Amino acid sequence: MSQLIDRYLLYRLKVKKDPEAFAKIYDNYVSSIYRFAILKLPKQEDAQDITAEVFTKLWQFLQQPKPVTNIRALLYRICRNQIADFYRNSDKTTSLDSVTEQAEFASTLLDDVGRGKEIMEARSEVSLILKQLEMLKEDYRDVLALRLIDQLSFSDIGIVLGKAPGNVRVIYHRGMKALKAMKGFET
Amino acid sequence: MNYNLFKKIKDIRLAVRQVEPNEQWKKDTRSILLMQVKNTLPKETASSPLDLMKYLAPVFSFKWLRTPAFAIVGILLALFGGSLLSVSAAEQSLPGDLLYSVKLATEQARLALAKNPEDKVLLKSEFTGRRVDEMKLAIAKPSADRSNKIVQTAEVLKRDLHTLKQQLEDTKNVVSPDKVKDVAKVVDQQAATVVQTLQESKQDLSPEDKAKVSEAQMAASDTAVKALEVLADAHQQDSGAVTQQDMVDAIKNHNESVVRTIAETLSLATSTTCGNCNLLQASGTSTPASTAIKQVAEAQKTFSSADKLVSENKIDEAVDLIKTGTTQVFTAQKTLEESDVKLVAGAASSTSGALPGTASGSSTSPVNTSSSTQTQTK
Repeated sequence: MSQLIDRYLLYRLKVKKDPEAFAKIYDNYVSSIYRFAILKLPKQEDAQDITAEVFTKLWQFLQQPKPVTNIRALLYRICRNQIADFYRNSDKTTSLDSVTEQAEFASTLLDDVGRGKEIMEARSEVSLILKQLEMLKEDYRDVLALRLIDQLSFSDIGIVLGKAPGNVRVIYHRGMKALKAMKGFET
Repeated sequence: MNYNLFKKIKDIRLAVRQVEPNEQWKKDTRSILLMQVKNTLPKETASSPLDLMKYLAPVFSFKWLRTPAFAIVGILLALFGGSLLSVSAAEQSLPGDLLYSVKLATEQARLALAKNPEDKVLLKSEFTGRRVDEMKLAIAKPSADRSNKIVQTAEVLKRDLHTLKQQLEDTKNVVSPDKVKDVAKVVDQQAATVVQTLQESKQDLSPEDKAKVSEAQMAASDTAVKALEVLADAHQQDSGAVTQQDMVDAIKNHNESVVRTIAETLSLATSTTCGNCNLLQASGTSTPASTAIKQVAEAQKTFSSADKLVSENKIDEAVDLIKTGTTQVFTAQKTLEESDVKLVAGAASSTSGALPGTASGSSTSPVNTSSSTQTQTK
């Protein structure tokens, strides 16, 4: 259903030249792209910059005559590339490990967390779990995050990562196996 | 996925879902982007409704048609779907149809898969019901070979009833009396239904077809009597499992179905007496109607005697009398129907005999016509 809405918005934007259609796309995806970014970036400001950049890139992409089949997957793909660029261009000493150690992400996250009982319980574990996720291979981490947190389909993840859906499925299952073997996840 | 992992992933998802970007930042970024889009967006060009289709169509893609899972389902459907369709189409077929053998083969397969002898009898009884449905369909369906279909269906029904009778006989030796009771009751009821349904269905048939249906009716009646005999045997073996009351009820039910047939036969006899008797009585011999009425009266006497014997707990003798009475009723019915066949055949031959005279045209006078009618009467 969401894909149908996206295609209609794309039609409004590209054929009817309706700028509000782009605003709608932004409204629909800004939060999930921001969340995807904040999981991988050290600061809240970085996540905001990257998210804004993602939508600017999307607009540039849409102006080209290239066909767009899946806006959601395209957004995640752009976001992933932007994050890669961010680390490529930033200080070489800032690694993902150091980010996790500083746990700025976790603190940022927890500032925004609501007050529900389940959330409170989750708080203590989120930091640890994310630290463990960082220890996984990058491929596994991306597939698991996109599948389990963002709940993308395998074919969408395939578009984001530039892999075949079957390949994504295999990576997902290997990632799950690796995750299960980790301390804190075993039965 | 184990529970621990599942719960943790759920927790993470729940926690991450709570993360929302700053509202002010969202608003500011939105206006900046919107401005940027507005500034660079070209003016609207002419569009057709097809453009919308072009954008929406990929959503309804049929990619799944090319997936291995669909291929496997396709192969399975090709292998088994066809046969399933044939079997369901065969369900509607009648004897003489191409798919009728498929229907019978399916029934044979079901019989072969039945676990025990009583299940086999019950299945066969169900199939007999199907034969009756086929008969009703063959009678109701107008077709060029309707008569042929009726004859064939009657033959299949007779054959099935005969098998049912055999199976009932075999069951009696291998199944416990209480199970025999259940099976015999079902068969008796089914046979009575067959007799009744055929009686109603055959009314508008030609005398020849009616005679064929009556043969099937007689076979059903024999099966019902066989059910009574089997029940009586079970009663003798174990009067606790098959009680006296069970026997009385079964005999009562059977007699009622036969009484209906008697009533039909009597009404048929009366109509024949009024309609055709004069023709036959003129020859000075006893008419088939009068013979039938006599036979029916005898049958009624036999049934009364049987009722008396039941009340005296002489079950075996009562069943024997019921057998005799049933035969008498159907003999009476047969006598009447055979006379109808003869009458129709006679009428047909006299009509065909008159045809050459009619064909000669000028030589046919009113006097000649009346003389031919007189000859016909004699």
